Amino acid sequence: MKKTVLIADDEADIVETLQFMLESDGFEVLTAYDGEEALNLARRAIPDIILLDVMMPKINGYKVSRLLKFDKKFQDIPILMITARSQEEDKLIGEETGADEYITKPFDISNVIDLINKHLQV
Amino acid sequence: MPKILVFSDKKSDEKDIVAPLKDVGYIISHVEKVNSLYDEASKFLPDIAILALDGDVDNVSKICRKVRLTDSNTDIQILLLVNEGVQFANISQAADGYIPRPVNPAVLVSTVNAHLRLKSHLDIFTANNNELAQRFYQLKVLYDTNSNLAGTLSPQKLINIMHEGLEQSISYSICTTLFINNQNDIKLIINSTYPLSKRLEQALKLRAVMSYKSLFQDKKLPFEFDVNDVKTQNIYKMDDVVYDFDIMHCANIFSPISTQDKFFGTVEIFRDEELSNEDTTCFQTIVSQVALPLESAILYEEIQEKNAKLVKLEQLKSEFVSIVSHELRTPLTAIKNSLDIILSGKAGDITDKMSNFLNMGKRNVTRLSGIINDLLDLSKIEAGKMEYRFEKTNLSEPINLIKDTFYSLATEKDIKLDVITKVKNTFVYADAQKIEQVLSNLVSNALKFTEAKGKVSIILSETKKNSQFYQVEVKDTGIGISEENMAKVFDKFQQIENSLSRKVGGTGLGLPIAKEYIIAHRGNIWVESKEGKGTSFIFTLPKYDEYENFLTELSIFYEKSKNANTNFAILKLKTDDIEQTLKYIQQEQKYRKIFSKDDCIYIISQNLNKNLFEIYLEKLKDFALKTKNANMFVHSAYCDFGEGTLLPDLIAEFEKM
Repeated sequence: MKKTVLIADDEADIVETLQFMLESDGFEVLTAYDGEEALNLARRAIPDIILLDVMMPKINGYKVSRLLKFDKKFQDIPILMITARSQEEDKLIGEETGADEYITKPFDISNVIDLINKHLQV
Repeated sequence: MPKILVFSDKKSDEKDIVAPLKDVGYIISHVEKVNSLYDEASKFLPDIAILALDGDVDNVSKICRKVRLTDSNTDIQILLLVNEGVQFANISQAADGYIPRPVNPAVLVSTVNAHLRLKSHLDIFTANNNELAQRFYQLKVLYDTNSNLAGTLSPQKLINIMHEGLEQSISYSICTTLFINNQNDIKLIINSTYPLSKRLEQALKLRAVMSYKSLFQDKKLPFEFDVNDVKTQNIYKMDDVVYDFDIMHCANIFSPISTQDKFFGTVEIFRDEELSNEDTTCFQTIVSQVALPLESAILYEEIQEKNAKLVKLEQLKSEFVSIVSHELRTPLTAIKNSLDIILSGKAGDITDKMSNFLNMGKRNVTRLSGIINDLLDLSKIEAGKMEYRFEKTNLSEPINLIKDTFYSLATEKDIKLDVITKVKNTFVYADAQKIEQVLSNLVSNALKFTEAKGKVSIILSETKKNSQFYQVEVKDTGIGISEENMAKVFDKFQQIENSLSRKVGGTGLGLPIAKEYIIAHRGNIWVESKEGKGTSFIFTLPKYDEYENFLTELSIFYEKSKNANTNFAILKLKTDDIEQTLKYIQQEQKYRKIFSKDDCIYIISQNLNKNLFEIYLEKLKDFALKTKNANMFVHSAYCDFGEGTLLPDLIAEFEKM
């Protein structure tokens, strides 16, 4: 059974490169390009894990994360937050909104895949 | 001609007293009834009064006093006509002298003459005395005005102080001040006892502008303007009369307000009474005193304006850096991802040569993101927005971590990397991550500039035995730094220039950032080096002291809550004795927004109630001082809670109260 990863980022190039690597590693990939789309897709398709960018149109990543994590139906889906900001306080915010990991751009794809695997095994 | 008032109901006195005095040429007024005595005295204003009074001493004294009071400006000399055989116990209390009856004309005239001389001397003395008092008062006003002017940096206030001084010392009817702050701010300030008629106001305005222009005659005016550019402002004290043109006939005096090279305006005063030389001097002194402070005040205003602009500019700059850096990260990520994909071989086979160049690309992406991080850090530092998470930290932890991180790189370059620890339990109050960043920077620099077979040591010690500071030295056997460059290593972008010739990478921002971090930790950092021998970068950090840290944390927190544009701030305290601490905080002030949770005390402050919050912080300081060994310290203190950053259950807790 293939595991499903939802990638949400308004940067198409980032989505495409991540998608390529994840698919070639045997994941099923869903993509969303804004917060609203990501939220709807997550609720409908219930992915195994979510890669969530912070700065997205319509609904930002923090809010998406909070909405999912405060809902019993979705709170078990691991969320990996991606942001272009690296400040400490952003990390704190990410943790408070319930995200499971925090990834700073520019990241290493292999690290991201390791993190995904780590969270899916638990 | 001297005037003499005679009071006597004795008919014979007309012959005995009035006649001989008239013969000398004095002007005499003879009164026979006590009732008309005072009236006559106040109308006639005599130099000498000769009174024939009978009765008891008290009554005589009373009459004498009343006669004296009829003219408050001078001392009337009072002579009593004393009947033969009558002895007044203490005549000097009531009168200035006496003439015994029967009256001898020679004695009468000589006594009167003596008292006239006395009177004229007394008059001179009194006049001088009054003059002196007036000058003394003016001097005091000058002094007061001067000290008031010295402590003021607002042009408007300075003008007000000048007016006050002029009013007190010269008591004018109208004072008009033309004040030119700048080309667009020209005012005519009119201080007067009564309001002015419209036409007088217009006339004074015109007069001020004309006087101003006449000051410079044919020369170029410092400010070009006409009557319409002048705004008037009239301040008056009473309004039962209105001043009109006739006031222009009063005594007046005019002066420019200027320093040697700067011109600020003019002052003119009008007064009913004539102006003495002293008044003129006083006027000029006060006006000249205001010019210099006025110059400073105007400069100060300019500087403040410029300063505000600079602050704004600095803010824009750091916002710009921050936004640009964030924007750079996203494309950098896409580049890195693409390189990773090709390098992974999943997009097709690649040759070793291709892989070599792709790795080069990847290395440089990493380097670029390092530069962006440094830029961001620096812009945060400069904007004063760098966040520190101070905690009790053992210095040997970050040191060992850095050693492990760089160990393989050192081995690769065939450099010996070791740690020498001369003291144990090296606790400091620090943001461990920042210290790691500093160390990482120093060690990577040391490795960069050290050749194979060299050595890099991290030495941990005290600055002196039992001193207040620990010291960390990163010492290498590398190429060293020239004396000239040593002074510059902590300057921004310094290394970027040098690295071009040395061909060693780096942003040149690492050391300035390290310096800022160490200073924020209340430590010091410096460099010692000999060219060709090696370099030591040394920094110090104050040893952990619970009470000191508590105070530092409190003051940092207080400053933050004061400056932050936030709805509420939370102070989180960790203490060994929660109950005791809570009890202490709550006992005197009914401060409801305090509660404890998970072994911590939370104090919530709303912007509305900063004063109370300040009192609390003071109390906490007190408490900490009293129970220095109670192991109470601020675990963390943070503020500025925007949307979504405050722990949800904390908000709930807050709303319940």
